[in-house]
Amino acid sequence: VAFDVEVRLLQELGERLVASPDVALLELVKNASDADAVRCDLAKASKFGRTTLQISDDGAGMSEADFRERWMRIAASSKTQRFTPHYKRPVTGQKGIGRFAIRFLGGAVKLESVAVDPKTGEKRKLEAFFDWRRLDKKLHLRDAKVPYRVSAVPADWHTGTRLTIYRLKSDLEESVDKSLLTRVLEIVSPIRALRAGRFSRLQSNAEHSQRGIDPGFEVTFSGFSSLPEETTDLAESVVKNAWARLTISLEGGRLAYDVRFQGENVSHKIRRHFSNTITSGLYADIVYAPKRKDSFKGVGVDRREVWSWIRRNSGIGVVDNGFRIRPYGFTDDDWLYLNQDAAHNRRDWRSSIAEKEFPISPVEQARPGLNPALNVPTTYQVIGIVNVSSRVGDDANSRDLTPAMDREGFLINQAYLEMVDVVRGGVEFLARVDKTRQLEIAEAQALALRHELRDDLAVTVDAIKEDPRLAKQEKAALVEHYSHLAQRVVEQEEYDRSARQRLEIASSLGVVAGFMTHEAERIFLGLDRVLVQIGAVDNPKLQAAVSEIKAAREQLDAYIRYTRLFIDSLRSDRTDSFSALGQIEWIRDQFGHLGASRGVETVIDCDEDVLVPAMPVALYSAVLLNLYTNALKAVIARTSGSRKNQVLIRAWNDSKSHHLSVQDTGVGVSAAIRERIWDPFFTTTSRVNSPLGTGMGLGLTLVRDLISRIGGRVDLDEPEAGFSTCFHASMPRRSS
Amino acid sequence: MTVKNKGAAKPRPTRHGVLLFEDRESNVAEFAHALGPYLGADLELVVFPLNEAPAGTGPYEDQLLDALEKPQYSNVVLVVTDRDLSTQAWGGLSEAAVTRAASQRGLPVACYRQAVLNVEDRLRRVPGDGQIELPEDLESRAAQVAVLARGFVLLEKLVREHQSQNRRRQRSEQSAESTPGQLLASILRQPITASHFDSYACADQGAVEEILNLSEDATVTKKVQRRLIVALGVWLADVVMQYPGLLVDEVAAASYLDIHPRDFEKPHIRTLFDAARFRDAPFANEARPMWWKHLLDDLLDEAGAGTGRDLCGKQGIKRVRFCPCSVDDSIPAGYYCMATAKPLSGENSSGRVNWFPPGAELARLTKSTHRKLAPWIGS
Repeated sequence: VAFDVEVRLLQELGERLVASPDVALLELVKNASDADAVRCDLAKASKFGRTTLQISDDGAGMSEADFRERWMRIAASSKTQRFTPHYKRPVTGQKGIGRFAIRFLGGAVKLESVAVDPKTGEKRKLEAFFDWRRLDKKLHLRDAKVPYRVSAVPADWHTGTRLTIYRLKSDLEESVDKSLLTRVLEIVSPIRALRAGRFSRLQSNAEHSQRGIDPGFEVTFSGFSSLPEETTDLAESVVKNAWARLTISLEGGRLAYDVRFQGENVSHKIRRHFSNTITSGLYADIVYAPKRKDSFKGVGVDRREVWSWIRRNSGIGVVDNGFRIRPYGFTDDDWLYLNQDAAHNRRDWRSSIAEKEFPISPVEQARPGLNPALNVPTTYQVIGIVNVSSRVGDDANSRDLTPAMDREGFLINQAYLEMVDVVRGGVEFLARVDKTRQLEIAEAQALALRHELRDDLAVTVDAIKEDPRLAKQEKAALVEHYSHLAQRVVEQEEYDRSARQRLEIASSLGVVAGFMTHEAERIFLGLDRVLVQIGAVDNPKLQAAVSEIKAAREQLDAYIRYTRLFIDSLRSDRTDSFSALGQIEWIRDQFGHLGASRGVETVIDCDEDVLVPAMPVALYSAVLLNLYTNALKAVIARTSGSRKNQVLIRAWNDSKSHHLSVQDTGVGVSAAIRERIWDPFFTTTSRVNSPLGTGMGLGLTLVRDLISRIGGRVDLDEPEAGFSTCFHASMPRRSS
Repeated sequence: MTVKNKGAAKPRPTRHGVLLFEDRESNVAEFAHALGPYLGADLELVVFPLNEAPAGTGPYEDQLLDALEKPQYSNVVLVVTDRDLSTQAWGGLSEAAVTRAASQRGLPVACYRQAVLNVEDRLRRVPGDGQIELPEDLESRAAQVAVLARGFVLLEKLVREHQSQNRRRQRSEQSAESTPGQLLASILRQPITASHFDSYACADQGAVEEILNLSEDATVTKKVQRRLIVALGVWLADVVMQYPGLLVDEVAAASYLDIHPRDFEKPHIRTLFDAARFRDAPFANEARPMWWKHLLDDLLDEAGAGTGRDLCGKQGIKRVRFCPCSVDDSIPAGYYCMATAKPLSGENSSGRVNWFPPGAELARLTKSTHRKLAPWIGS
């Protein structure tokens, strides 16, 4: 038994296939392009007091045979021709059903088409009238007859087709306005300042066309009260003067990324092989326009207008066979996950290409300031078009780009996912080179400043030498002073360079901590056995040594326990609020003996109910531990004085913040080093001068880094009477 | 005492076996020596030959499973393993592989470690994960191994008796137990404690689930029967008996009864509470006595006493001291600290500890310990 079709199918195709009037209208515009038209006019008119819509083009028109075999045949295979006959444009209509979208717009349509009859070479006019109400009354599709007539017309008539839509849907009468037309224009005329590469109509068609170069295709409007404004100049200004421009070309298996920054002639490139199923490849032109200092400065257009235009046009769209595809790059769409990843501060690459070509190093991963993944633009910072040419073949298993039936996007198949991977990879490449460049610029600026400082110092020294008003001794003293300053600048440069390197090497020590805690347990086990045996020997000297070893073992065990808990807690994602007093007591219990055995008293001033805002407990503990042990060292390092030996740890909450202060009666921080104490590897202690040994000089750097990461700050504050130093950390009680 | 090694080609053993996995010869000798006095005529220690390379290839778990099928291990009722089995011919063998193989054979596993477990590690341990934790101290460990081995033998006997009673009951159309608590309470002949047992289930959902599913099946195979006994035993020994609430040890009982622990050791006082003793039950240990808390309540109610000290007074025993809180000895305790194993008062303790089973009403931590450790160990 063969399938039978009811008339209702036309209703389904027309009214439920597309979701919005602009998509329906576009299907008709695309038909004009497929007819090799150069111009398509959308006109609003009034007939018998009712609004009508006219879509006319100057294309090749439709012969009687075309009408019968193509227009009147649903899903006609003749539609699957790859290119249009004259200008060799890629055919946009692919399933032969787009024209039924007319029904979405109105209850009746009149078709008038002038074409050359291929048999006689004469021009003929075809007229047909579709009254959906009347057609719907029939049951079977084969009974739904459409009346038409063909008549001869003078040879000087132009070919073309005009569709007049009557009985517009009631809600449409009002909505055929500026916003609808703007939406149509967005699709039909993607930003022209962006390049389409080999997908450009003029270029690609010239290669194939027998009739010469395709003059292009434009959509005009008439009869509408207000038309969208022409913003070509502004678009060109933005595209030409944006911060950076990325082009992506995929042709066969050859993938090319090119990023060029504004004002630079050299581009950053990647060339690699990328196996894919996108038959026609793709070409993308994307401009990056972040709001940065000096962006669009001196361009000659109002910068407020520029930002407003960018806001309206931002997003990376997809142009398929010359027409933009919804929803990619339109409002609320995030097909490249740019906004989502920015919102979640994603720290990894998403594309396979980025992972392979320019992976993120562990050091970059750990430090937000260096991580290029955090520099991936949002949708609002990019304007771009990805050009593709999809084609629906008869192969049901095709994995190529395939438009969805509702004309809203592509099917999510292998080719689509590859397209996302390629384009996202390009955007990630842009983020990577931009980040590298920013860091280089920052470094170069710092270097330039230092050079400038050295030069200034040299000039000052010369000026002092030449100054006749200064006495010889004064000159010598001043020259020595400035020479010393110049020497300090050189030292600072060297220090910066080596400190950075040491920081990266030091981070790798974390692995060793894990092994050490495990091995320590084994040592304790052996030690305990030996201590039991020695303990059995009746020798007072040995017993004293055993007691000393036992005490040290207990203390070392406490450190190991702390380290183990610390390492374990790093695996947990818990960030609950917790008792401040508990953590202060815990740190004092574990480390306080360092001071207590040297006469340093630790005083805690914290109410039982003071809660630390939600954060990893290891973070709070690390901050506390560093500040506390620094304070102990400072007090122990004080060689004289009548002040008491004390460290005061205080924690309290106010309405906005949690506060933690650690004060001590130690040596204090001299004005000369107040700023340097926060530098990595800066330390005032050494194994020789500190009875507690020395750290790596990373403590305060880490403290500041950790506190700033949760939106807080730590400063060297004014100490209370009787104390010499006060470190004060404040942390927001609500995450910012 | 009998210590066997390898045991190849020997007749089937008649005594119940404790199978030891230990990779250091000296530790084996020490343990065998310590266990000797506790073995009696019904138990023997069997040492797994870790100094002989495994015969086949493939994962250790599979090879162990094959080995455990051999006749010389047919009498094993408990597997005891060191947590660090890294040396000898089975290099790389882990206690996890031993546990999995034993579990497949339906054998309970008890583990020990050489190092003393820290408070935070002890608190973080998930009880009832299929491995019973043994004391670090050698002497206590040996005693506990013997108690566990005999406990599993007794439990098996009680389960069998219970099942046969059930079968008779089913014929008379009386319904069997529907929750794990009812099952265990019934086996231990304390049916009133069923719901209290159930409130311990959260600490060991896996085992409880297993018990529920298996006990519904009246025609259980021998292997499934073994798994049922292991699950019940681990639940009782490693969860219920570890967290005071349903059963209480000497310190917890003294604290609950408000009798000074020293006074509670005195025979003339202790005898007053003899009717509440946890006795003739699996894992009951005369050396470390325990009491049913609900039976202690019954004794107090019957005497019209508010506390154990009152009861002593009513019985004419004078000068019984109250049980002081270990944090502030001026106030009475009432609870038990899981970190220090000392009496603790409600005022100085925190009961908001989410890793304790809800049924463990007397299990507490000092406020100070709780606020220090809670964020680190997820309370």
